[in-house]
Amino acid sequence: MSNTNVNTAAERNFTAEQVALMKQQYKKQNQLVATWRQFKKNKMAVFGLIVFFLMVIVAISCSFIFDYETDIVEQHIMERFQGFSREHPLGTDQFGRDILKRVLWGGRVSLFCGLGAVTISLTFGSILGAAAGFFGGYVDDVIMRFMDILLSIPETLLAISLVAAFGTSLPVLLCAMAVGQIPKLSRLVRSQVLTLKNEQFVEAARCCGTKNARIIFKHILPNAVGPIIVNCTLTVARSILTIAGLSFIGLGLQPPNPEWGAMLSEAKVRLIDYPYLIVAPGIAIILTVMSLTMAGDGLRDALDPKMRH
Amino acid sequence: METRISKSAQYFNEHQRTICTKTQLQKWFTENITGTFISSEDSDFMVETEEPAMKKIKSAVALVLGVTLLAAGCSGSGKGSGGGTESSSSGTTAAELDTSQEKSVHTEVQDATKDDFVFTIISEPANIGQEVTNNNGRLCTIQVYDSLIKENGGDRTDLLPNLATEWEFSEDGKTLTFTIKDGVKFHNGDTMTAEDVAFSLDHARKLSTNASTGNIIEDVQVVDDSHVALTLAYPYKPILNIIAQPQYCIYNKAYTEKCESEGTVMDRCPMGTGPYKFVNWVSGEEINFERFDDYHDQDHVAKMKNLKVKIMTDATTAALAIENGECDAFLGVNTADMPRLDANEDTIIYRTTSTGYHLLTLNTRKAPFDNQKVRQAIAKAINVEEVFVGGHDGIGWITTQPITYGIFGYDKNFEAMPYDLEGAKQLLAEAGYPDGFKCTLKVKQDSYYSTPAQICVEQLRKLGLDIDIKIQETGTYDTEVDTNFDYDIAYEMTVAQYPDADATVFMRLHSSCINSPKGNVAGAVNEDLDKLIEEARYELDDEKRLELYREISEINKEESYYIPLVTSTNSVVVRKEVQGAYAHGGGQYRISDWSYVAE
Amino acid sequence: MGRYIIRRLLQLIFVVFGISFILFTILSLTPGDPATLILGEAATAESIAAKRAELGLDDPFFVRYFSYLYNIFAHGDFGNSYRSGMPVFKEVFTRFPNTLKLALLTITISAVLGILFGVLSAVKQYTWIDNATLAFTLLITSVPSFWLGLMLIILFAVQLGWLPVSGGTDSIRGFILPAIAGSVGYMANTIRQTRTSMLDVIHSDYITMARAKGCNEKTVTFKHALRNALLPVVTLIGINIGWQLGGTIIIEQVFTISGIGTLMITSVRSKDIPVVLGCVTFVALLASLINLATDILYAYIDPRVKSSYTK
Repeated sequence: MSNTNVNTAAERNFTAEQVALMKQQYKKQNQLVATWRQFKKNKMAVFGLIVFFLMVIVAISCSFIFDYETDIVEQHIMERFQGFSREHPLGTDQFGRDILKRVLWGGRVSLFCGLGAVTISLTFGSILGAAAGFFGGYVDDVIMRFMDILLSIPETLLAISLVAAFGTSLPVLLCAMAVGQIPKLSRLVRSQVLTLKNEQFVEAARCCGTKNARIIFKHILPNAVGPIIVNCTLTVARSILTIAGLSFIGLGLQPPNPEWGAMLSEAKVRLIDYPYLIVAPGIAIILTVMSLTMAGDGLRDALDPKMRH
Repeated sequence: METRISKSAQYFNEHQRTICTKTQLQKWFTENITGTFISSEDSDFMVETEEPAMKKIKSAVALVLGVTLLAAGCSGSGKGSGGGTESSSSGTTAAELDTSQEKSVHTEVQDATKDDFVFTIISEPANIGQEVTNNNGRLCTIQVYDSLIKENGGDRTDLLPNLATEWEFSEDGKTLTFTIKDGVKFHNGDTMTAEDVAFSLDHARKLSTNASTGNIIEDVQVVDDSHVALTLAYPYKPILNIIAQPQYCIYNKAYTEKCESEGTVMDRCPMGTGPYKFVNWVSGEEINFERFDDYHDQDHVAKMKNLKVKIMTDATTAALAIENGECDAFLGVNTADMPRLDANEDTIIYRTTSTGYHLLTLNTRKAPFDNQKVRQAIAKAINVEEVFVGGHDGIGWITTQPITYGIFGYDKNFEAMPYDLEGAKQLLAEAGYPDGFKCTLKVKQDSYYSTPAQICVEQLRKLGLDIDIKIQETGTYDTEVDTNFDYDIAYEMTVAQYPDADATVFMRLHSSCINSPKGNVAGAVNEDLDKLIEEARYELDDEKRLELYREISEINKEESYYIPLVTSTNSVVVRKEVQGAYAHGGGQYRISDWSYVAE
Repeated sequence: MGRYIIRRLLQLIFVVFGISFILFTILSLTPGDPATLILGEAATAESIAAKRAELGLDDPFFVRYFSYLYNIFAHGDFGNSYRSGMPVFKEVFTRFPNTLKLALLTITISAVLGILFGVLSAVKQYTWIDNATLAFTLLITSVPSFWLGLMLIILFAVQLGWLPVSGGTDSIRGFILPAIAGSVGYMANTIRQTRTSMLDVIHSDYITMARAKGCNEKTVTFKHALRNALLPVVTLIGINIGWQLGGTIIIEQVFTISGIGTLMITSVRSKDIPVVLGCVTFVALLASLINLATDILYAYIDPRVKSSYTK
């Protein structure tokens, strides 16, 4: 929609609100295109994105190519600790399971956990941050103080406390991963909301009697999407590291889940005799986190107006 | 290639006194080493056409170890708790046992060249004192406390006087009178009296942790200043072995009462008559002891002044530490590290059969485990061979009876429930669960238990059960499974407190123990079993006892309350400079008899 | 200045109360009965009831919370461990020196190397050094610290035998590998922060002025730029110390160092709630104090902030 169209529309007696909204949408579309162009220039970021998409594809296709029971979980004790071979490109572990298949399936598990954590932190973070930013006053104070307190507790400690209280079931673990990220996200959302709160289109919407919630979710947040996505990408990366760490110390996903951290924990006992067991899961973690971080950083740089030259 | 292998063989023979003869080893080597040594079952090896890598040697050593340990089990030349005789078909008798043992380990031990000895263990003892329940605790207890009788080094059937100079059974075998040694000093200067002895024995027999042995003793009386008499409920042969355990060590009555009234936890500041004094306990890190120069047995005063029991929670790290020389002895080594430590010239592993065996226990208090068919199905679904190789690296002995392998009462020819997955599925369907059912298997978090447990879980999953594993911290496990009996299936170890079948059988299978912690955890209540167990307990004829234990094992097999799996080895790793060391199934390492002599 | 400190102290107290409240709430929701756990085998129905009364477990939630706080402030009593019966405070304090040594060494390494690389990268912006540093930073944020620890063990302790395997020995040698493994995460954000603030400073007017006056590059970089650039970095390092105290958990597990982290894990597994609460509150409190100290230091050093408070 070009500028001329908007003005003509204005002449055609659209309401002020509608005009303001259209202007905003136009601006947003432009922004999107410009951001993408900028992003493309950053080779590392593009590379990261490609790698990440590959992983997602692998993760999804895993359930079609492999059967969980026979390929991932079933033990073949008599075939343990085989080295690299054609049948087992990365060898077998202490229960005779194929390492390559487990690492690939582990990607599925990790991504699922990361996405789950992000969903939770996004939901709570944006509700809290938006409420704080939009309503201001003592609502803002209370919420922000609470976030400060959460921030003061080292993340691992908080995760472990939750696991201590509620056990190692999947929902608890997802919350444990998410809870450390909520303060940052809510702060982000809050500042975005504060900035956008005074834009024209919000005024316009309010004039038309739109309910507050609707304003927040339909009008403000969609415009704050950029930094939020950056934050989410980095959150997924951090969550993967957190769940790997928790599983490593035995407080995360339980065996026989092929989670990378759990695989490393089992490999630790055999460290001296079979060091190859550590390599594959470790590299998997590094690749995943690195690609997400590259993509996230690239997106952040692309959105940053200072860098647009 | 030849040079390397003969060196390993030499090493083996010089240092592994408990294992095999040189001819056996040579025979195996010549038969097997010349060609490639892969078969589809023994996948611990790798095919190599180039120079033999270190790994090959290690793998070779691993197989030799496995083979020779099995050979040792059959040939019974091992020290330690009751080994069997030369391929005897009817198990062992106590008489045969004595002659086949190597005698005292107290070969000439030189004076130590250093004052500090570091002994690493992998978990912090919960208690030091009569309430010990694991080997780490017993290790510490035996430094600080003495019992009336002691075992001769690693030989658990050779009993020697300690705080008692002699003992005598009455005519009917129901009264046991001890003569107490004179002039024994406690670490705080007090002299030990008969009062202390009587108090301690009485205190010990009433502890819930001693429930399986305490009810044998009816009463303890001070006869006079140097005699104490135990009244037994019935004549019981192994009572002397029981008294020799650290669970019946001698406390100082006044000190114990003082701690109780003040509310101090005596386990954390123990004070006894032992060769080492307690110095301090740095929680989670180490426990320090110092030589007691006024030890009552001046021939066995400790050679090294300072003993540090260091707690290193990770067995892999500890194995590395002893290789690096960061500690002098290490209890709790993983089977995964054994081949490497054997091959290392700086470290020596002493082994003996563990006093305990690993098993699966099924909670008959809960449906569907109260259904015999279900239990049998589970027993049939377990492939013990795989658990042995995968969980214990093939080190140890497959156990077919609810009795520790090789101790008195164990019959090597007894056959366990054979592995039959199809039959198991059928049984399960007959029992009314053609699609299986949901359950959990609980196990302690140590990989020593959790790795074989995972294998069992997978096997049961193949049976069709919707089973999950729950790996729990030791304390939580002890409370939930062994005390509150809140579990479906559990993987654990039964420890025989003394080398006799009754030690495990009574505790696990007699109905009177269904509420005792770590007792009849499965909740088995079976009248025939009870009768047989009691008969076996009172029976004085060895042949008859063996027959009774066979029958008991048959009933357990039919009912499948417990599924016995593997008897592991109890191993201690020491540096080559350590003299006088030996393996002990019950953690009773008298460091006062050891020495460190640097070359 | 004084007013600022007092204000921050009040904030600190509020935050600490908040932390202890949140953690107390979370942990009191743990299923399972502490009395049964403590008494273990000797548990009869009466003794359990008696123990519960003794521990005040049947009181309403807020009563328990406030009596917990009261015990801490009035008697310094954090309760007794369910497992060992020893006072929580003692358990925490005996293990604290190890964690402290580890944390300090880790922070030193990450700060020194972080600042070094950050400065280097900023000064040589757009050259291959800059790109290499950025790539390195990216790499180390993605490496899990425990994996790095395992690799370091294989290389240095097993293959080369240079350094001991078990951490937590009295000498510093036992802490080197754990510190390296743990420092990578913090090194990354130190590098980034240093680089950013150095870049900001370098492009500012007074640096151009210094160059115009004829100072050589070294003086410009170290005497003028670095000093000013370091301020936000100092804040970051302060925050890192706080986080590091809680973050040693995994490293302690890998290297079997007996510190607060290991204590936490053991207590979590055995549901020893007083010890968990004690550890976490202790660490959180310490972290907050350090944050406060850093803020005050920052306010003191940075004349702009200082002037806004000393009216």
